[in-house]
Amino acid sequence: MSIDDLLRDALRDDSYALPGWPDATARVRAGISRRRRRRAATVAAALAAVTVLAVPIAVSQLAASPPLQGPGVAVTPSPGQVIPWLERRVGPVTPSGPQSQTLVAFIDSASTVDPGTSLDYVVSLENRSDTDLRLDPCPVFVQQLGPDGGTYLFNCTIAILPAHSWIRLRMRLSVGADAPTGLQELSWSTAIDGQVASASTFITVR
Amino acid sequence: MARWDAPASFDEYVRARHQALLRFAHVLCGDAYLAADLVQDALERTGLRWRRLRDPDDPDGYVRRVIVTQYLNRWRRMRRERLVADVPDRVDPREPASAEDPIRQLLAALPRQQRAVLVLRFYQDLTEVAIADLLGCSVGTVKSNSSRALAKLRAALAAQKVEDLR
Repeated sequence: MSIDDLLRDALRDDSYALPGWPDATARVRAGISRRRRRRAATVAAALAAVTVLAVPIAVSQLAASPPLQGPGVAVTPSPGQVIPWLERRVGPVTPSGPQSQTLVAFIDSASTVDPGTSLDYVVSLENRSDTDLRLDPCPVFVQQLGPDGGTYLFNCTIAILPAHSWIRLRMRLSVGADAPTGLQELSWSTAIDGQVASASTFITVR
Repeated sequence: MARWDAPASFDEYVRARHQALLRFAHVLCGDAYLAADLVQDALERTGLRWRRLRDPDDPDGYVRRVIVTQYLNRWRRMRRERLVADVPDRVDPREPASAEDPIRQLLAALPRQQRAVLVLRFYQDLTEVAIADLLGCSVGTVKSNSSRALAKLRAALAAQKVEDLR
């Protein structure tokens, strides 16, 4: 008997069969609800942290950044406008929570990245609701690829994401030289005006 | 917060496929409890993006990918992989008696990436290209992992035969 056949027989042995879960759907649903609750709690913490952190950071960036739009000053982005990301790490908070049906994020990224380099990608953020979303206070976002990433502040060159419009956000993530190779999940999330959007995709670290 | 309302199609998928996924995860990791954790985790992640799956007609492909990625990453994160030549004594009634099968013992001693390649090739009958796509590596890496693993198994089985003859 060849090694291939021995392996096939061993791996297909019925002793690997496990009993099914009697309440499979309820079990998975409960797990998903738990995840969403955990994220919601983290969003609350993130929003609280933003009120403490965003103001001093924004003020300190005024001289170096394009003028920050004040509350009530709506700057409408043209559809597809690309807004460059400005790196400002704000702390170990995660803006995630119940997935919004009206604020939707998509990631457009290369499928591979080398350790020790930067991954440049674009996030499209679409407001599908009938109401404008205020970016005041300036929201945070989280990007994570394996062990690399963190929580950052938007550059907030716009104050409002109008209803039924979308913007593209140019992102950059530094991949550590010792990043684990292989398939990794790139996740991105933000909370704007109480609406949480998240997106993820798989990237191969070579 | 409102309870998560699963689409009916997701409920049906979980009901119909979770047992097969449990078996796949068990073959992959060799541990019934870890297999249950991997499948639960993968189904939760899948449920959260059910409406955005790239290939809604083949959710198995996505779920398998998550199971394998989580299996490999879990070991990377926890850094507690122990390569052992012998399976420790089992008292868990969920562990089948055939865990003492020499092939299983040899599989348990393989590095996780090599074991994953063998499982995908000989249990799932995936091609090398499909395995490379699923693992996010090159076809050459799949080939080298596969041939190294098979060489180790052959050598171990040959040594065992010699031992039996004595």
